[in-house]
Amino acid sequence: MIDPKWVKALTGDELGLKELYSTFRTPFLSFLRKTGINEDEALSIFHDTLITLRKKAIQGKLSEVKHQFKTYLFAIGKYKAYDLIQKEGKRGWMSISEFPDIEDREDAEDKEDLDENLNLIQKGIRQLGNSCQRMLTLFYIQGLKIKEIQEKEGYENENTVRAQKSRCLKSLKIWLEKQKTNE
Amino acid sequence: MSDRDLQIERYLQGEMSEAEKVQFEQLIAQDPELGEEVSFQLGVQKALWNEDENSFRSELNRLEKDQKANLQRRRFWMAAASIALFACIAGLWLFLPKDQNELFQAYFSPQPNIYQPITRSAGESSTLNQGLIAYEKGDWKEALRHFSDLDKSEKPEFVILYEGNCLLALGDFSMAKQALDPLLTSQDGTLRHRAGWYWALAQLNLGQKKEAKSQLEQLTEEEGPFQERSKELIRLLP
Repeated sequence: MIDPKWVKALTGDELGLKELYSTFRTPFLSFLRKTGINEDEALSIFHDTLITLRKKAIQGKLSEVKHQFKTYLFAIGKYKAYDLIQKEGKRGWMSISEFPDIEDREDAEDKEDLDENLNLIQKGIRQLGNSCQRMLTLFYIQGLKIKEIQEKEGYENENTVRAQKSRCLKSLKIWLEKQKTNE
Repeated sequence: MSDRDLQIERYLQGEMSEAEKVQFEQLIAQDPELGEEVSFQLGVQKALWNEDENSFRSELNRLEKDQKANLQRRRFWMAAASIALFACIAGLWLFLPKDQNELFQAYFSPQPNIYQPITRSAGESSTLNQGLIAYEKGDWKEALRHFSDLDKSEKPEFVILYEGNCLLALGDFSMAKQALDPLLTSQDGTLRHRAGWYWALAQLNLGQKKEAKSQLEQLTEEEGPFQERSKELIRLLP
């Protein structure tokens, strides 16, 4: 089971994140160096792995993982290193068997491709007020249901939440339209 | 809130059954306006994740910077502490009186065979030559055995110096001192100077500090290979 303190660390506890970083950084880098990749690549994989884990922590999936945190972290890092080696096709993969495989192999994969439109939406989100950014984050990132958002944020009822979310999306659309017209 | 918006909400939050999902996706394919809205909201979701990833990555980079700075600081202080420790040890070693055996270990190195170096042409079978070969190899016992087989009349004076060195190397300081005694009055100044140094070391090990010091003081007044080392050793005497 994942220790809840690491889930907290990945979802906004600054001191916890600092502790997590200093606890696992050196062993993780040493572990990956055994595969033949260099220090910079190992560090980049360490950051990518923590980003993957943050995503899972925010979605509430990390708490459901049955492995120890270290085991899970290293297993994802191992796959990311494997992918890098395969992609570059220049060095041999040294098998590391100390850590069990993880079931969800796709955890290790990065699928994000930033296209221009996405970039523009991202800019648009930054133009929105804090309450809109929070509303969209709660719904689209944390995956909270409308009822949950209502309770968490103290809205009068579910319709108020939906109306607020709708207003935020509308503001964003207007901003995007303006940008396209200016082009 | 329209029924269409509710359906999009359920679709994005994964609340639809497989059948509902298939049906909804068919609707998306048929209705461009609906397709555009779903695509927009999926874009918002993706953009929010990217935004989150960017700010989290910046936070990780900041932590890495701190970590490296800490490591550098730690390395600097460790290096500084090592240098300080080394300086203290070296200082103590240089300026504090030393144990006589410690001094002997630091200052004794056997006299090299400079008087009759081994050459290919030399008769290998001669006792002297066999003794010298063993001496050059550092086989002190074997060297001593050959040297002692030599007749007193045919034993060159330098061999006595080598015998003294063999005994010193074997840790027999009393015999070494005894062996070297005759060389202190040798007519050969350089040989006397060298023998005096090794004699002083033997005395030092025998606890005869006064005699050792007196001999060393004499060496400091002579020009020879052990003049400077004698000055140094006198300073370190307990």
